[in-house]
Amino acid sequence: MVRILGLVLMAVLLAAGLAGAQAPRPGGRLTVAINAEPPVLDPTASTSQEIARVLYDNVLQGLVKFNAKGEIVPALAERWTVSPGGLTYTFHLRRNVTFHNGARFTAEDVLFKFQRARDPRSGHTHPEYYRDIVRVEAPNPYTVVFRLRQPDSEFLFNLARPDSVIGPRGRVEEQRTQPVGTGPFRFAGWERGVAIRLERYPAYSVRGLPYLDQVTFRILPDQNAQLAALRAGDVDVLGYGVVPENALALQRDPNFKVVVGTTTTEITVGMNNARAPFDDLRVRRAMQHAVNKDELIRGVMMGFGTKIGSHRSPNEPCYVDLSNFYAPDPARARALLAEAGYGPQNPLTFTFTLAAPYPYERRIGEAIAAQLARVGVRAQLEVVEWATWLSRVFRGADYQMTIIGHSEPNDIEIYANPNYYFRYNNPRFGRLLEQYRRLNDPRRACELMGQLQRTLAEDAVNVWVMNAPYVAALRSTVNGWWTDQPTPSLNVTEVSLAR
Amino acid sequence: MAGFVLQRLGAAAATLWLATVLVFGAMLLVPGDPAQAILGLEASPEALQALRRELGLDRPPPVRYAEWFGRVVRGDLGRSIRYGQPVAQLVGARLAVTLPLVFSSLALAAAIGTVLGTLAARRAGTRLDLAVSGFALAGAVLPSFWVGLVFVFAFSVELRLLPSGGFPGWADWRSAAAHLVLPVATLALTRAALFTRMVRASLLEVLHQDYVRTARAKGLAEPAVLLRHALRNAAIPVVTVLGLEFAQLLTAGLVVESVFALPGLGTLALTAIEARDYPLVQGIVLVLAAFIVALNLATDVAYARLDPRIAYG
Repeated sequence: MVRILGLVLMAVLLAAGLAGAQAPRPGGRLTVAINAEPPVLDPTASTSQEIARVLYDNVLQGLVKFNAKGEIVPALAERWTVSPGGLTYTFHLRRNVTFHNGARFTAEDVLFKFQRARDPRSGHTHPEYYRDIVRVEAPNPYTVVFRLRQPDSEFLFNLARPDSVIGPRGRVEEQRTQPVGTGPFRFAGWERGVAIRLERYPAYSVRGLPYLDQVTFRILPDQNAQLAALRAGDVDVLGYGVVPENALALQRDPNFKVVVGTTTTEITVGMNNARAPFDDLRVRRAMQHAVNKDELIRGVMMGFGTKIGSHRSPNEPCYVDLSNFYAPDPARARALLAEAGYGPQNPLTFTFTLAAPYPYERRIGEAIAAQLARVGVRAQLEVVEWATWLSRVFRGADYQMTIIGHSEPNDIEIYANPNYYFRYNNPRFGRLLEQYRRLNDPRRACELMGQLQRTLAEDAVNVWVMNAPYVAALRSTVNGWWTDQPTPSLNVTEVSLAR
Repeated sequence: MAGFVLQRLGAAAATLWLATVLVFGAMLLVPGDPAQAILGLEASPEALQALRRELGLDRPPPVRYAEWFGRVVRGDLGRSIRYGQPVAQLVGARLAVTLPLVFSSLALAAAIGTVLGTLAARRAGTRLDLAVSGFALAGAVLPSFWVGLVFVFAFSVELRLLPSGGFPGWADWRSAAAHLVLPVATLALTRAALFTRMVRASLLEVLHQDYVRTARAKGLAEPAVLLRHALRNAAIPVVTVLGLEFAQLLTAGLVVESVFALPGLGTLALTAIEARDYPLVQGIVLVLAAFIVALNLATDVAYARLDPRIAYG
């Protein structure tokens, strides 16, 4: 009897222990290292991804948002309906929401936001996301109706983007440095060049969340300093972009967890399609055969990263695997180059411009130059700092080949813009994209999205090397960290600290 | 002396002005746009144009320079484009980290250098001298980022005695000082090597002078010979190097700043240049140039104090 009682007691204790281990413990402070400082703190004022990393859903929210799996879920709207023709979206707003300055969130704030977003002169980022909106109406303080000019298969997706976050009506300038939102954390301070501090918002509309009292995002660009700070206990999390060798070192240490997931970043060898030598399809195709992506992932990234073959990431909707569209084939690359008039007597020579601040891309670029040398191509490496890259390569398209990560989710539409720095100009692609956007039939839309990806691969616009890995490192006591990055976001809403 | 100082101040003002003109010109020559640095990769041309207008970047460079200069003369360094805060405030906050770092490192380096250099000079040719020379060589060749990392792994990661980096601000001075220990030690160690060699060489030369032999001959105790006669005369080249090192460390501390994640002037300068933040770059250059000019002046005055034969007039 005593033995049975003992067993029952043990079982009860065990169950209690397990339950204790599962229920997140409220309280605590978390320090997260980030690689770069956001230029401002308002994602509607600048397209810099660093802003969303810190503020998206933590401080600033929109009607809908992406969850950890990349699904679009309710945020400030508790539910929504779409009319059969896809021209009217009705959002029902949550009623118990207040802004961090105490003001109540109502439909008026939504009207103000989208009036600004649609005005190209307002300085709002990406007004084109909202260009199909004809009218936004508020029949009552908790209902908002969007009327569209034509169906837009990307409309909800665009509403979930960081650009679509909603602040208090009338507040624009101040949001750049002192953001006020409706999220689980409120902005508590920004020490320039040092850290951004958030604190728990006690009146957050979802009960029981967030768990943490305080979160500090510390700006630590140096990878060695990051590793030291984590090991010394000065930071709890290395938020993103941990270099492979540090990740491998931390994986072996039981005090830390290394999170490896996916991002929406396509590491892209950009080629200037309007300038020699890459205005020749044969040369662009030769590049595809000369680059061995598996070797790059294994050798340079130590196994982190996923091979891709077009401008889309595996975790994005309607992804088509084209990673083997061009097999690594040095002989084929040489043959194509010979057809284009290049050979041992007249080797293909060009400048390969690398952007200094991006460690993944720089390493991969250097390795690609070595791979190209195997087929007799001379890629002359040139490293430029970021502002120069932006102005010369990105804006001026004054380059031949470059490499950079495109981190915006769902950004295939850049190929419809002939002035984009790839200088890719295929009217058929533009027409396909327009058809895709106007479809109200998700299955057919997905087919078209597949065709879009295939068109880019056939035209060999760029060499899409890999989907950049998401690599973060956490102290083993940190729970609830996102594994994937369906949108760049270090979401700490459900992060907690174990005892 | 007063005339000399006045003359030097006039030259200093001209130097400062020339420095700002040169930097302004250099920033115009390099490609890059501060508006793009703020608005990001995907910013629309309209938004970029609007911000450029708002920042006054659409006006001709000479007009921008004249306006900036007019404000500086009235004591206003303007506002940072990147941060939207007054340049004076940003630079001031960074100086609160950089100045203590540089002063403490140099003081420590000079102290170590003087002690070791004197020992080595007194025992020239012995094993002790060899050991000191070895230390000096190691300090000269080991890069400061490596020394810094070794310190962090030893004292922060393994022993957990000191913070690995960052700076909490001077409100809690104990914590602030603790955060500066490793960076100061790193900088001092690498700089001490130079001072050790300087002091040793300079002292060896002085110790062979006639007046030192005279001092010894008249029965002066050895410490008095060293302190009153030898070291004082050996100090002149060391003071020169001290001045140069200070100027260099104000920005060369950048490596140590990045290893220890210290918000110092070096990192601010780098951020400002990367963001093409013209007012901030100009402000930093002006402050740095002012320090260097003041330091040169102080060095010259120090010469006269050390050696009465040097006179200015």
